[in-house]
Amino acid sequence: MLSSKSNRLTEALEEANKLFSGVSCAREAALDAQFLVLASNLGKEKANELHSEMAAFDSLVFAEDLLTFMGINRIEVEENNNDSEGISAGYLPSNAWHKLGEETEKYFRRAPSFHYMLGSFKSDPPVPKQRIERQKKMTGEEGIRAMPAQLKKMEESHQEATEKEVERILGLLQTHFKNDPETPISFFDLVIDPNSFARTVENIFHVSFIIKDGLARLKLDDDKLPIIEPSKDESREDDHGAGIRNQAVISLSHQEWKEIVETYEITEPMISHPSHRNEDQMDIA
Amino acid sequence: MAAQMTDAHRRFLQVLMSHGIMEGSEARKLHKCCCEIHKVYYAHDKLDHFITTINSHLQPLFMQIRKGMSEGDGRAHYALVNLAETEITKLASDYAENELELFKKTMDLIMLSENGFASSTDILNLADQLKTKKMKKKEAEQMLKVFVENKWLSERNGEYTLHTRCIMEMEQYILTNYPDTARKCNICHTLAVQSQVCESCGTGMHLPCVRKYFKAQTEPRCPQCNTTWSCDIPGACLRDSQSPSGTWRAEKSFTLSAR
Repeated sequence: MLSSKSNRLTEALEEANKLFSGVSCAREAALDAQFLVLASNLGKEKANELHSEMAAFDSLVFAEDLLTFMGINRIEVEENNNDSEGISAGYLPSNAWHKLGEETEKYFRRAPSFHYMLGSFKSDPPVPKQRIERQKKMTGEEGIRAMPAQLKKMEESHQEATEKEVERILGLLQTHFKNDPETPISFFDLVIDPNSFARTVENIFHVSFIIKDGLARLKLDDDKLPIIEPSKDESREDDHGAGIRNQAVISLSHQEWKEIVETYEITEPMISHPSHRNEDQMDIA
Repeated sequence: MAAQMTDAHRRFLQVLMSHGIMEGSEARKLHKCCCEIHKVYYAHDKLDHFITTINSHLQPLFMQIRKGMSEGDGRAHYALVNLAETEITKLASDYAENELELFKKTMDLIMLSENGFASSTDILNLADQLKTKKMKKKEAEQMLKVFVENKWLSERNGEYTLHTRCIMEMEQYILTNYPDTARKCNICHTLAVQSQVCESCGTGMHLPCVRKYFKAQTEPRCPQCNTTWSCDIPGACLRDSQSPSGTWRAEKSFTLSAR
């Protein structure tokens, strides 16, 4: 049945076809299907046998021939036992593929197709875009340059303000004593500002500097009330030499300040307000 | 009465069709070759007449061989372009719908950019926003390569611009669909995707046109407003970019390698 000369397989199939028309129950149909499977397997084997009559296409040999055709320049390869015998080594000349192309041109008669882009897609109506102002950029005047705020004048830094204050108070104190050398000033009379508690505290702060520098002394008088008097230079040196440091912490609350103002009947501050608080002057160019 | 098409014409047309676009000297060589193969009368300066014959036969098919200038080097190129936009041309396109959408969006980016280039990153980021069918970034990258191979886009340093072939075919389309952003060269009055722009009056010029125009002039001046042209003149001398102090800015400084 498998020989290519006989038609037996075809005849068997036709017979099965005829028989199938008389089939009524499932078992016979199943048998028919089984037969078809068998027949197709036989057919496959028949087809395989057909091939064995032709020379098979050996791709490796074809590749070798192709290389030779393209004009490969073979290199002398060193004895390399690992490589299989048949592989050729070498490099192709630059026109190798062109040569192959020219040869195969004869066997293909294909007209080129037309490729285009226009008309491939629907053109949407132009989106009314805001006109990108690329033109007419007026870079004429550069506009007022804004410089960062510069410090043109610096009247007093706060550091120096303290020192100036201290010096002013010292001056006050000394003037007072010059006028009236015998009477030491009551501490409270000096520092308390009946109008402002904050000023009072500041005054105490400034006076403390004077005392620290030894330019004035704080004492308790007979009534046990603190008094302040400027000190002479020698005493200052003594203090320094002795290295004795007396420290005192003075605390004053708002309530106490009020009481002192009442008790001492202080109506106006001895240390006047500085005339105008000078701030750093800034100049914006 | 149109001249008859000979086999030389047909061969020329077929070769040009498979290339899509050919540079001037190549086209002349091809012309010579075709005439010789088919033993047709050949004169080296008759290329344009040759092409006109072909065009007269292509006209009913809405195709045309056009001559245009490359924006990079200013050389003449010949391309076979399509003229019709019909339902049939939409069907016969090479590319899928989402691929075409990607191309259209790329074209949008290129036209909106200042120097006519769109970076590959920007294009790939568009891939997610396709309305027809989403495309992965890898696919989009692949697609861009295909566009470059088929000469619709050209790539330089990771940036993409329209290939000369695309500009020649799509010129009308671009001028209609991008009326605000598309710019015409002041010298040759064709579409300019890459251009140098005078900042005070906004006239644009192709780079090779700039070079030709300012070749003879010692002091480059804008042809419209006559103020000094400060963008680098491409390829003129070997001077380094001396950007003169002033308020101009060069939109695209481009130095051609000296030929």
